[in-house]
Amino acid sequence: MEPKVDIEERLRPLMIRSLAGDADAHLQLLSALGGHLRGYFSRRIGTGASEVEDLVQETLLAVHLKRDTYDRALPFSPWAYSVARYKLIDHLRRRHRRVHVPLEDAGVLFAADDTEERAVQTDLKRLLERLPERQRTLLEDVKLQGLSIEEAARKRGVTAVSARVMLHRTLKWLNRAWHDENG
Amino acid sequence: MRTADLIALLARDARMTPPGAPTRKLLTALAAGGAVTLALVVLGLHSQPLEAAARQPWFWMKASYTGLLTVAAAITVRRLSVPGTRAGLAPAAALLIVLAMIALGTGQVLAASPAGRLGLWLGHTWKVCSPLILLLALPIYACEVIALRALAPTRPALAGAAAGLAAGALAATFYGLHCPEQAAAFVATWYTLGITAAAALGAVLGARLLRW
Repeated sequence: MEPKVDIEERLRPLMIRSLAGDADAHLQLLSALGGHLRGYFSRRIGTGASEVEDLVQETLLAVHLKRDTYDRALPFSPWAYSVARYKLIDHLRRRHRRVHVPLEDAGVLFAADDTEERAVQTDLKRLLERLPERQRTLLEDVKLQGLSIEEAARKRGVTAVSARVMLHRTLKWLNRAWHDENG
Repeated sequence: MRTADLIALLARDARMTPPGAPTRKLLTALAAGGAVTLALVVLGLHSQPLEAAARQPWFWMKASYTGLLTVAAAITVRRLSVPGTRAGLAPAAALLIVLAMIALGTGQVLAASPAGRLGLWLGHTWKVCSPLILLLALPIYACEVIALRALAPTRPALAGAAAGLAAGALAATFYGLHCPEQAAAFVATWYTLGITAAAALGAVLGARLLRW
């Protein structure tokens, strides 16, 4: 088990930089968290890889959208663990499963690191198909073609600011749609 | 969609995020909801002017009780509004404030002559007091729910209860401007009942509304 202090030393500075608007730090943080989440959820629900991957994606989206609830003065791992545990409980409750998830030390989230993503169909793909044309093309430009927001905006003839706003709204919509659909 | 693609997408949405969002959002909610409730008390219930109320010691008795309770409840809401933070001592403080008020009210009843006890306890407005406090709490609670939905309470029912408690206590503080009752026994019973009802309703609604 990786000592917790290393996690703090590695992830907390990344989180602080990401809150300052550093996209590269944000990417590194979410990638590292993704591996830990996959390990944690796999051990907790065990079953199907697609269910685990759905949960990983939903939690990463929540970490992203709720990141302003992290207090920079506090350690990062309890915050991240609490988000992960909440998402796990919410997920199990929606599927009417036994919802006892023990409250453990935040270290359990970081006990395993499973960076190997399985090739599975996730709920997110289905939700993306429900997006209006304009939003879906923006997402695809950014996601599949790896364009920056500015490039994608230029390609579609909109301002970078409105493309940015559209991306953010789409992410929020995805989060809500995910929840409503499984609610 | 692959998780790696999602992460790349999220990284594109990185931006400067100013600190202090939870406190700011919740204070804004209390201010906005409180303004609506205060307007309802002043315009709807035709309360006495603040200067007149402020000269009456029993107004301050009521306002200290509900004001302190508002602060303890608001701190609890703030702590429950984000992941990884425990509720801390604020809920215990809220409980102590209520118990102290009940002790004060009980003492007053016991010290009164047996003939006067029922009058102290029921006053003239006991039938309307609790329901009005509950109704006046609703605008504040609604604003808190909007703020909490933008935050991340990991215990929705508990956060909802704390939000209801804060809404009820703040509503009761404003209701005290209108309310003519002067007895501690009255306040300890009917104010507390209205505030508790707001907390209970807050818990029930919170369990549904505050999931994210």
